[in-house]
Amino acid sequence: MKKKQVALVMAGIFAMGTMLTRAMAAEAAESTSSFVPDKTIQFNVSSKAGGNSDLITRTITDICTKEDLVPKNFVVNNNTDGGGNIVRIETHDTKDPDHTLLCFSSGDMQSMLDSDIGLTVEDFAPIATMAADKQLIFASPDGNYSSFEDIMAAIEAGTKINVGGTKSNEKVVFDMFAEEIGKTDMFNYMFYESSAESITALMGNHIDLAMGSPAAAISYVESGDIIPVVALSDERFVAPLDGAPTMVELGYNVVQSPMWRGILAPGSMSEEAQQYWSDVFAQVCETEAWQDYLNNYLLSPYYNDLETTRQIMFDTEADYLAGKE
Amino acid sequence: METLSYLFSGFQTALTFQNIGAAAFGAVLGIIVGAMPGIGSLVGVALLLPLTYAFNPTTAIIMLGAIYYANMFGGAFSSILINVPGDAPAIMTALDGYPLARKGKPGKALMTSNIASFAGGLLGMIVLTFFGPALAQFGLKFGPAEMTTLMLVALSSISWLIEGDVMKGLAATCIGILISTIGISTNTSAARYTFGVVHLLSGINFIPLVVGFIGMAQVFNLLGQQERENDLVVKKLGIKDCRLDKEDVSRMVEPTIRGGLLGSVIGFIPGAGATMASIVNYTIQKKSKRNKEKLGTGAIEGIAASEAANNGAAAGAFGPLLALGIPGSGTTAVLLGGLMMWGLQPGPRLFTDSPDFAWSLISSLYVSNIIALILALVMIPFIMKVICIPNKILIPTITVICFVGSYASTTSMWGVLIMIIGGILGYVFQRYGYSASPMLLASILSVTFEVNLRRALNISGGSLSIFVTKPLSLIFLLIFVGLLFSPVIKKAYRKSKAQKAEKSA
Amino acid sequence: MKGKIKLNFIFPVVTAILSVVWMYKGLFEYGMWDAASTSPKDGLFPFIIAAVLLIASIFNIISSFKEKPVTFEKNALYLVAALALVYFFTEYIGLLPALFIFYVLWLKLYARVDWKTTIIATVALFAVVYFGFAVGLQIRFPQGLLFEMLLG
Repeated sequence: MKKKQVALVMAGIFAMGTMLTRAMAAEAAESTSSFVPDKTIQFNVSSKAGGNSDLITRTITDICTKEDLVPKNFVVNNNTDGGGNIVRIETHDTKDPDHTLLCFSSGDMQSMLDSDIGLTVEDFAPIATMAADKQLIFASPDGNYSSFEDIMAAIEAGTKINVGGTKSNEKVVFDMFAEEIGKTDMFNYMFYESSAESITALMGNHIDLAMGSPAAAISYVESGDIIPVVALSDERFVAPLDGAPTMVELGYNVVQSPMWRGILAPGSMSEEAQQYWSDVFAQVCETEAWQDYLNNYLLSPYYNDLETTRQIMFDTEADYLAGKE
Repeated sequence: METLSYLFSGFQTALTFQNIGAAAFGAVLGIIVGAMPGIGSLVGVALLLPLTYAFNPTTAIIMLGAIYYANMFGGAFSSILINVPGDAPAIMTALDGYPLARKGKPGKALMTSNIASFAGGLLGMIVLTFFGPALAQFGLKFGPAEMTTLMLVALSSISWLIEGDVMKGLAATCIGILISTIGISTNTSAARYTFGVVHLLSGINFIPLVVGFIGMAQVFNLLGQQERENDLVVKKLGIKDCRLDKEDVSRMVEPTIRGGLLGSVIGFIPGAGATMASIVNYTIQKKSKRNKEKLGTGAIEGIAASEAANNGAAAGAFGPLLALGIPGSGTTAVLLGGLMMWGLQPGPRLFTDSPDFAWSLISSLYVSNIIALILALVMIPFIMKVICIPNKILIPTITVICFVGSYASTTSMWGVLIMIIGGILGYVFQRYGYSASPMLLASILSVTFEVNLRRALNISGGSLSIFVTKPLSLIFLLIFVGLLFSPVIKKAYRKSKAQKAEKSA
Repeated sequence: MKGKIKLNFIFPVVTAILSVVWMYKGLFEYGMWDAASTSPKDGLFPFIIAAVLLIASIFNIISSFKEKPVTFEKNALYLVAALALVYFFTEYIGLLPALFIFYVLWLKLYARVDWKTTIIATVALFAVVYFGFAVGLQIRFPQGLLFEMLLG
């Protein structure tokens, strides 16, 4: 009797146990396959309303809402405090990591790494890169230099050349250029707040060369106010920027550093949510509205999945830290 | 002639029913948002930008232009009625506007401001229409050397604003400049004077600082007047009180015309903008001998000088934007973003590639200028009654407005903290006899000065000759030297005159 | 007036200290002149301005002893306290509720305004703030921990 009872109880417990485990397993399976946001999503942006990061974020959130890609609403939170670092700290420290995203571009890297807030990309979960921009070196038609050869000749003659450009990416890629031609000390790189400012200075012939992205420069190239001199890319740009040779054509190694715009999540975001967001942004990139956005701002499509995005962001970080030393 | 026919066809586009409606709607919103304290034109345009997405590009841009433009009208309301300026040019308007309103003439102050805005803006638009592209090319000539010497002139004209003790005024100006050095340096992109505070990396936000230093500090002063209750004549203010008589109008003429022309030219210089225009025009006016009242005590000339130059510059700033695609100010930068939203590439080819668009935008500025004026005139008799609110209610009301305004302009409690500290400091400043406006204006101008000075020396290889060899720079340098020694020269002149008189006597 | 301590020298002394801090950091941390780029480093401009401030401050300290004593409104302290409290409580109850409580309490307890005026003023002001800023301009004011908990 006793044995039987024990066996029964055992069987009962076993059965219940199996059922419980099964139920738990089922639940777990459900959540891995489909994380779905159940709260308003906070999308943090470190630029003002109307800034570049703000525009890309609003485009993405608009598409998500209009195309019904995400069941909940987005709230875009603009905060430029602390050079954008406050919003990065907020993203990192959020209490709701699955519903928090941060717009992050390679241009933000410097501002984050130079500050003493102690955050690096490793503290976040890279989700996706969305678009990219490469740069060119421009000169003024009525200035002293109108080609790469002119520049080299001037440098050989011992003239220092004044270059204008923004902080971050433009500076990084220009340094790579100067290093590749082996003349780092012959350039005077001056920081401007925006490409618009440095191109304006170039048009007024106040500086010799200016860095710029296709979007910032194309209309001035069309009107003949500035001329592209070197394309910092692995291939020539499309017309009217096709006059500028790449570094490879000029007999050097390729020099480029695509400025990407992408999305970070808090480091504590669950794997499932990371996958979910990565998939959502992949869908965003396939919409027509996204194509329009890229065309309007002359950006190249640059969507990457979780694994590749991680690689790209960590590489950019390593490049910047290496350049700093 | 060609210009006129373009402008005419522009008006044909701008004057369709839909576009007038959009301009009127934009003007209403612009005035309301502009009148909301702490929301200057930059914040206003940025916040209202999404509203325009619903329309076709031309209509949307017309509406955006109207918002931008009407903002300037509304901006004067809060600085005149409650002494809470929304941006830097409004500081200059408050200098005379608020005292005049407290004298029981809020209607007069608002009317002066809006009519000067209208006339100054109109002059600016005429300049824009006929000399736009040419002046935009002229604006390009302003490189680091020219900007440095121009800012030198502007900074030294701040000294004319100093009331009372010169050494205190000098100290206040220096404090303003030191405040502006906090944050990431533009030239090196390294942080300085942040004392390890992350928030300080982006510097002290200017608008909350202004709201605190002027608006909140004012609340502390009202606190002392509470016992005396309202020393204002709390008579019924009627439409009559808004009328400007012949004398008022004749007092406005000189500062308004000068302001409109000067403002529009300064507006064409990228990075100079409305602040500089209103400071320079105001200080010139202050030096004028024809003022009926001393500026700073509620003089009509002062209000007109500041507002006309401000609006002239606002119109002028469209020059570089339309002719070259260069934003001359923070606000036009947001407008540029708006233009690009519709795939329009503002740039040197805008006038050749899409003349319809460019000209209908310019014509719509005229239209929205008129609509904004009419609306403002209709609103003044109602809105001026704010001045009748007794001090005991005004004190907590302005406090709440300062909190909300400083939060809205930065969307961060850090902005509120700056406003609070700024308010307390502003009060201390006043009690010790240090004037706030030189401090604030020096703070905003000195950034441009330092950045360009360093760039200029960088370009010239460390040689100061760059400031003399460039003709424009040399001209500004001479003006600066002239300003510096004008008191000495005047004194010498008077002395010799007196001696002559003595001899002949 | 005799026997009262004059506080006039304090402010110029503070500005003098400020200028010394700025000069020190400018000189030793940020540097003066960069030979490579032939232009000033981050410290030069602030150093010069701070030096001018120091000179002006010294003049102001000297002249402060000849001035009439500086006075502050006693009530100013109440206002400072109120500002600090609103700022402090924003974190817990949100900005607009904190301002609302401040506004009503100030009108009733400090200004001793009657209920009718208090209600009219409060409703009018907060309607403008709410519909103008929060609804019209879509500004999200800080919610505070309390409402975050209540609203999830």
